[in-house]
Amino acid sequence: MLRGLDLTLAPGEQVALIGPSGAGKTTLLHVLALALAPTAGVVQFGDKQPWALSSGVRHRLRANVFLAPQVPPLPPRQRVVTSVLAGRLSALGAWRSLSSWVHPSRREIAEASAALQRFDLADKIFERVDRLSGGERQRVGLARGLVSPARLWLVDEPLAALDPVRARQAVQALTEAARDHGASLVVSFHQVDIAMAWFPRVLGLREGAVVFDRAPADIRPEDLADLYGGEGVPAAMVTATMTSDPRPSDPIAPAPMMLSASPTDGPAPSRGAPAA
Amino acid sequence: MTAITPLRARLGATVVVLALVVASFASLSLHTGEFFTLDSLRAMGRFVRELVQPDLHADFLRTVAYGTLETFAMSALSTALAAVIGLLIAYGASGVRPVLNVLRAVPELAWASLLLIWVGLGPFAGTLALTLHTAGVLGRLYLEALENQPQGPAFALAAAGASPLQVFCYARLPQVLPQLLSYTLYRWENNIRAAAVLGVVGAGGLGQLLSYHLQLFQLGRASTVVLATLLLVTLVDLLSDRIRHDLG
Amino acid sequence: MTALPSRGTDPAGPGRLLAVILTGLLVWALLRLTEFHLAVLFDPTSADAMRGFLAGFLPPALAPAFLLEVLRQTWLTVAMATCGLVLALALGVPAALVLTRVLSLSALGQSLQRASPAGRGGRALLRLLLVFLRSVPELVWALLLVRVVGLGPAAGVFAIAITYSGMLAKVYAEMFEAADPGPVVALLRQGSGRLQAFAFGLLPQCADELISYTVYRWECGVRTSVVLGFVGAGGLGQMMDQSLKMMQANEVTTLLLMFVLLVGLADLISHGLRRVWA
Repeated sequence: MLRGLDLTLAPGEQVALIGPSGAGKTTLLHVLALALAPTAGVVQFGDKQPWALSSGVRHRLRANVFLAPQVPPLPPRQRVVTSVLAGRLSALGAWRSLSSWVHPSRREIAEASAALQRFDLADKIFERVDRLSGGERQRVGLARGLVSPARLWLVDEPLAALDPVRARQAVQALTEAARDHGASLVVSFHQVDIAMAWFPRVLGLREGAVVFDRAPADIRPEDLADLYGGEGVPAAMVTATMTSDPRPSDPIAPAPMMLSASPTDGPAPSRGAPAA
Repeated sequence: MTAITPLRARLGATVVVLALVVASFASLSLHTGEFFTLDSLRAMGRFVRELVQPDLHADFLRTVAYGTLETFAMSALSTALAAVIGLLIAYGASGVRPVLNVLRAVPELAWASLLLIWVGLGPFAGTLALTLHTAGVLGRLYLEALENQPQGPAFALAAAGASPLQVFCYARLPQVLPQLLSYTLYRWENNIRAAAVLGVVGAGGLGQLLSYHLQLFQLGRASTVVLATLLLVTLVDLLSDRIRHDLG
Repeated sequence: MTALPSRGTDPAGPGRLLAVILTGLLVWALLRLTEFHLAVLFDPTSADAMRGFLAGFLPPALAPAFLLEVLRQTWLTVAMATCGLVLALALGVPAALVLTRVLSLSALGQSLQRASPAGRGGRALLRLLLVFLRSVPELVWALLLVRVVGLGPAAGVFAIAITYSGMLAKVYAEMFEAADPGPVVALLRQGSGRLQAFAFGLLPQCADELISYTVYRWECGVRTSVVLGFVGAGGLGQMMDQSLKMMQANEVTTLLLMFVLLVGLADLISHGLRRVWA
């Protein structure tokens, strides 16, 4: 359940999403990915409102988004190269996608291995996915985003199966690759330290509402304690905090992505986006 | 549900089943007694004696070998065709479920006798018949397998703007492929048995040889055909087991 | 671009190409062997024959006398399957018990693989016999039996009994072997007989599976007995065979509908029984 949430992303912006389990991080990512329609409020891509468009047009808009779910969505017996190349299907016609399915071309292999290289997996390119470790699979799922034509990358808890060193490498690769591709990046984390260290903008989410939305330098330890605190802060207070909070507006670039669900209202569960 | 299954329902079902068994035996009048008179025992003995002397002349063996090959071809081709049809149905036509049920419910032999009228005697009719029945069976199994799979991979690709065909090839199919293959192999084992008998209505293969020689009371030759059938069935079972094992 | 790894092409490529070529050759051979000419379907003479036949399909034959006969033969078909299965149980259950190593007295007190040579030899022989019984298709058994016991349902019943006893024995034995041997061994050690050990140690563990599989086999038996009629074992199959030979298309329609109905009904009954019992 999301509510009272107003979020604008600039092109190329990198945002970390933190908050306790069940805060709505995954739901928010799904709404941003156009995988879930909001029951109230508006999602806007540039000047388009996808949910006001026909489903065919909306589906073509999805080519602009890449969503990496928490559990890497890879069929077990597929080869890594195919799994990675699946990331750019929206850019291929039916024939090209079939031929690449049967026999990936030299160029496609080069592209996939360049993406895998970033995550230190180039040597696994022709392995079968079910022969990889959990962490390797998760990184293959991320490499998929690098070959996609998407300009907005949404990544849900990418570090769950990674050890600390790999986790650091993966975040670095992800942020660098997003910068190189000029893509906006939204990543949800359980690791607050990583979020604070690597992202210029951190969004604290709790019970479906934004608790803070600031640069890491402006986030005080009390804010974090509040975010994860055991004694549940009443939803009304959270929303009040949010609405009175000066949100960093971004006047530099036109927003390619905007999400707004009843921006200044109090808690109105009936108007929020439903949980997946 | 099991917890509240009343004892009475079980008892009722048991009584019904017992009644079915008693009524079955009563209405069939199997006359088992007649089989054990001296005369019929002697006739049976003669029958068995001839049966255990298979005809192994080179000429006849060649005929049987060709029949075996034909039977193998009928089973393999029909299974492959049915798999392709089943896949097409599973991809695009889940609305044809009732058609699948009819295809399935009509036995191969009935299909074969119908198709004989259309395409004439020979293995073609048999192959088509096996294909129709098997397409019904596999189509349903494929549909269920694709529907019951985890939706994560398909969801991820669809969320990235992939088309239904792309989602099918890159997520839905690879996910269940081993299962589909295993169904198909089991069906092949079944089809080799069916192909071996379709000939009795004139649809080619070993069955045609068998019914022909039995009609002429050439039991030695019939017995060779039965042996060939046994060999072929065992070979296909082993082969299919092997493939399943290699893929698993 | 980052540096490319050494392997620029798909290593599976040549293998896939070879597989495609081999499959192509195989399919070509199969098409030749099965005399697969789709053109025959549209050949004027054969298409006319079929069209003429199809034209007779509707309306289905619904004369009361015919319908009554259909119902009688349907019942015979079900009865054939039921009797066949009961006889198959009578042969298959003892065979399964003999095959089950846990119930072996000679193996008691030793490791399960250490049954007496006679026991092992006997079991191997029995297993071979069962493979033979179930590997020869039902219809072949029926064809042979028709020569022995004459035309009529008896041939069908015995054909089903023979094949299914082989299948039941195999599957039952597998279920028994998969069960926990503890309770059985405990009973045998106390000196109880094999049947007692089976009834109190093994049966309770596998009852659900046994019932479920047996009911499923009955369902298969109904399908089989329809088919067996085609070689003279009576029932719906025989009626259909006759109607086809007489080119009575409208009767064929009725019979086909009855097949579908019967198979659906058997499916329903078997589902119901499994729910109530297992």
